[in-house]
Amino acid sequence: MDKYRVPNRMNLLRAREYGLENSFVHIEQTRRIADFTLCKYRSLTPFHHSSICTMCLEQSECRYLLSGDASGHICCHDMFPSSLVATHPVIFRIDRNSNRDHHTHKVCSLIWYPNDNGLFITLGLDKKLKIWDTNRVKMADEYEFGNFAYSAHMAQTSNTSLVAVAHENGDLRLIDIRTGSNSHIIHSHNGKGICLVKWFNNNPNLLASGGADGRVLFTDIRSSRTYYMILDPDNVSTDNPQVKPRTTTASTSSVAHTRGIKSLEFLPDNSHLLTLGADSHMYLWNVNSGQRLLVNYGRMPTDNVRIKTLACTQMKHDRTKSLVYVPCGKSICAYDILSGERLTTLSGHLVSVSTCIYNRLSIELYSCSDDILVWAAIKKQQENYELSIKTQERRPETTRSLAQILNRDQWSDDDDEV
Amino acid sequence: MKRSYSFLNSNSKKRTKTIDDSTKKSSLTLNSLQFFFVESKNLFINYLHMPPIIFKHQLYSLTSKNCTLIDRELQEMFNQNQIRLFHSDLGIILMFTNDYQLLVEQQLNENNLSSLSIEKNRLKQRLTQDLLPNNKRLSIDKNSLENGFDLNTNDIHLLIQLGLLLPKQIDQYWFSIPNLASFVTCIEKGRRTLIQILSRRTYREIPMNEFRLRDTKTKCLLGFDYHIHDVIGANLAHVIDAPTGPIVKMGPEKV
Repeated sequence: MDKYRVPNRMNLLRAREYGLENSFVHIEQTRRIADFTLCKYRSLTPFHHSSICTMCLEQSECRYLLSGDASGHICCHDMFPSSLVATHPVIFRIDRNSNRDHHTHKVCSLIWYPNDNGLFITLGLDKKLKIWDTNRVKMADEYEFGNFAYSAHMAQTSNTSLVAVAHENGDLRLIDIRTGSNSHIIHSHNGKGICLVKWFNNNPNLLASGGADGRVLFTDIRSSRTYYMILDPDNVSTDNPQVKPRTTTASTSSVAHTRGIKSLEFLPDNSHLLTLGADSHMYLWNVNSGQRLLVNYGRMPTDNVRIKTLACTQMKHDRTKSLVYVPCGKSICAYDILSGERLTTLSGHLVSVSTCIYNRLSIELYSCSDDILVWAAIKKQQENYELSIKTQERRPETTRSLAQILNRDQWSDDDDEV
Repeated sequence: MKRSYSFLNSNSKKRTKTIDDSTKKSSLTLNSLQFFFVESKNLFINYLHMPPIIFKHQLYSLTSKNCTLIDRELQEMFNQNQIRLFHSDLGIILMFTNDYQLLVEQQLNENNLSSLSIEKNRLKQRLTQDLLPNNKRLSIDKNSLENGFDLNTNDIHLLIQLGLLLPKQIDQYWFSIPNLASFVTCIEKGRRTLIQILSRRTYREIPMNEFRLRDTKTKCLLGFDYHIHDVIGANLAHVIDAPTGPIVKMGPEKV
């Protein structure tokens, strides 16, 4: 926790006066990410009637928040004025009253197009993947599958048009939204299915997939092999150089987690991966070598949420200052990624939390269970605001009683005379 | 997360100080390892006739703060071949390498499963000199056993019969400690006893000092500290710091 505290504000100011310290902004940001509180006076216009499964924040402006719920309704909130008191309006909604092409089942994945916010992609449990035009709120394209799909992801690098879809029978389907082809299938996992798929942050050709049997595979879509690396918690191949690269069939059965994968998240520095499994462990991996870094986060109680989304933050100037927000039951735990220390616990939800999203521009955290809450480092402002409300409430009472005013005036007169 | 096992820590410090002088290496993990080692050595030899076995989660419970540090130090010790880690259903267990080698030799000498003593000697040498120092991990596959260490199928079968290997999946084996049954029974009995005492209390909690005075000697064979840290480490109970001293409460720690 000390890592995230401000060293000494007076010294810092003095150093800045002499031009010694130019990381003032960074220090303030670091303090803020470890000090989130619930924003009581910010609310989102309520729309969803069932529990919210997934959310996605658009990355170009960090402004529009898509959320999809268990009955297939999708809506978009404008999160922009991040002031102390705000009600965020609904920009558009997709439900059975307003749109013919709505999802009929639970929404599994929502993806914003990484380059701009004119397009987004939704995946539902009705075995359909739909591509939407944001400005007209109209469906542009639709893909229907023969199997359930649990997760979809689009590469975050520019000029890609590939969407990866994880199927319940272990197939990994690649969809090129430019040409509309959806026939490329990679049989990487066995019949138990894939839970999650994620593209690498910095490479449009590599993707990581987590299976229901606990295996995590890295696949290169250009090569004909099904995968090029499998994560192994014992670090067999990475620690012992005498063991040859895994080509034998026997060694391919190593599992990263003993039960299914619940979350895969690449850190912003592109060289680490966090995986959360249903065996209530979270592991940190080096992406380049496939080595498990020995960080012990302790037990994480997992519940029956199928896919959890973690929110990772990392300070650009100092890579060691990185935090992850993990949904643990009804609360959200913040862990320091590299030391595994638990810093804070945010509690405010009434049912189990499924998704956390970090807004890097306004330094806020959004989390959803049956409603969406906003967390930010505004403890002091909020207290001041509460105080000001209380004093405002008191003022009319004092004006009402005439005698008091008269008395007060007399007192003040007396004071003046003295 | 802040806990202070004030009495335990002072206890362990007293004990480990004397050992530190001899080993001349003071690390958190080693200290706590030695604490359990010294505490339970005689009991292990008397009751179970084997060298001490320590759970990884007991170390978490004793130091209660920095699990990452313990993991790293244990892995380092494992890589230096000071200790060996084993998989078990109750959690990861560890043993000092010297002890394990003695155990392996004893196991190979005593059993009459294979008739040829020359073959046994060959196996013993292969196991203690090649296989164990070169495999610093929990499991091994059949391919590397056969090609890398020149063991045939009969040898592998013998090792499984002796309890030195444990089938994990097809063609994959855990390394294991032979004759663990009595140890597992002992641990489970201890857990059951302590949990029973807790669950009979009104609020399912009991002050540590009072807990210590309970008569658990016949059930908790390996010493009260050993068993209580096992229970806390396995998330069956947790400790609350109260002004009157630590209190053990049943159930995993609430976030």
